[in-house]
Amino acid sequence: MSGYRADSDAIRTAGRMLDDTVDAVAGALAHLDVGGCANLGPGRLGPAAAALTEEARQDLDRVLGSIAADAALLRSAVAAYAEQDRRSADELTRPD
Amino acid sequence: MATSYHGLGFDPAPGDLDAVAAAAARFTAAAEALAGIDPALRRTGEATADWHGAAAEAFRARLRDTPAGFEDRRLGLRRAADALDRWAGVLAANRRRAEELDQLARRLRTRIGAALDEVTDRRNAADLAATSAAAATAGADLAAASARLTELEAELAEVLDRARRLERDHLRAADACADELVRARGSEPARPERNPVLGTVAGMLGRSSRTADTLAGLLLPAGRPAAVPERGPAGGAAALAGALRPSGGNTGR
Repeated sequence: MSGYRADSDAIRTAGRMLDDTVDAVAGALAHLDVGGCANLGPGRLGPAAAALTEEARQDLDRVLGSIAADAALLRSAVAAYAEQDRRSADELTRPD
Repeated sequence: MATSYHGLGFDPAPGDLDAVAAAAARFTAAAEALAGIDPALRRTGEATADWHGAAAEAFRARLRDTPAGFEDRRLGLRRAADALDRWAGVLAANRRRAEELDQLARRLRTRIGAALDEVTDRRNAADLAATSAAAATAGADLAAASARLTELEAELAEVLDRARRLERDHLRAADACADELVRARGSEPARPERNPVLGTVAGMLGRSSRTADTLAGLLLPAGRPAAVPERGPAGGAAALAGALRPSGGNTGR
């Protein structure tokens, strides 16, 4: 198709969904501390928990950055559409 | 919270229940956060389904490239949280047992102290006995006091032995939980390699006698044949010496 169709409210809503996901992931990430694996018990238990914690941290960190960037792009798209609309209106209402 | 086991002299069941519960909660929270990602991406796609144009297509391409599919990791974290919950149960039971044994050991140490004083007193009485009859009585009292002391020391040794068995069982259970955490990462737990020299010695012992077979079995992992050198000096001591000597080295004097 040519041109575009954009519902700013729907895009804003989608951005908020991503923001909520970012908050949830960031909350989980904040508590995934390798230091919290001390004193779990003897032997290999602490190192095994620390390794799993570190891998989970890396996964969450990776997805957090990506989703946060997606959410930011949605906000900027809404702003760009609004700006485009405002400029078009200015052009169309400018006295000849 | 660290506990001092003054009666036992060591902690047979180390581990902090609060730390274990917190670690299980962290893994659960991380699993839930991961579980929310795919549905959130799906809902975002649905919410922007009516958005069309170049920007919309570019955004959809980004959304497709967003890291997803964390199901294995999510399940692994759940599995790890469950394993830690089970470990918390074992830890709590073992710590209760350790405290019971520590109380027993403390009481026995107190009684041993008193028994030692009693032996000292009886020995002094025997040394100071003025008559042969008094010496005989004091000697009998000293023997009885010494026997009580020996008995109490044996009881303490038994309690300490039970605590050491608890310590070994506790370590085994902790390592089993660690293996679960390794599997939760999609890996297989690594088995520590036995010392190859011990394997060689075990093989030689295994050939020499039934008693040595038992020793060899203790040295070797289950199901693993002992490595036996093709040539070696005869005799047990020579065999051990041959096994411990670095290969390729000068063996003559």
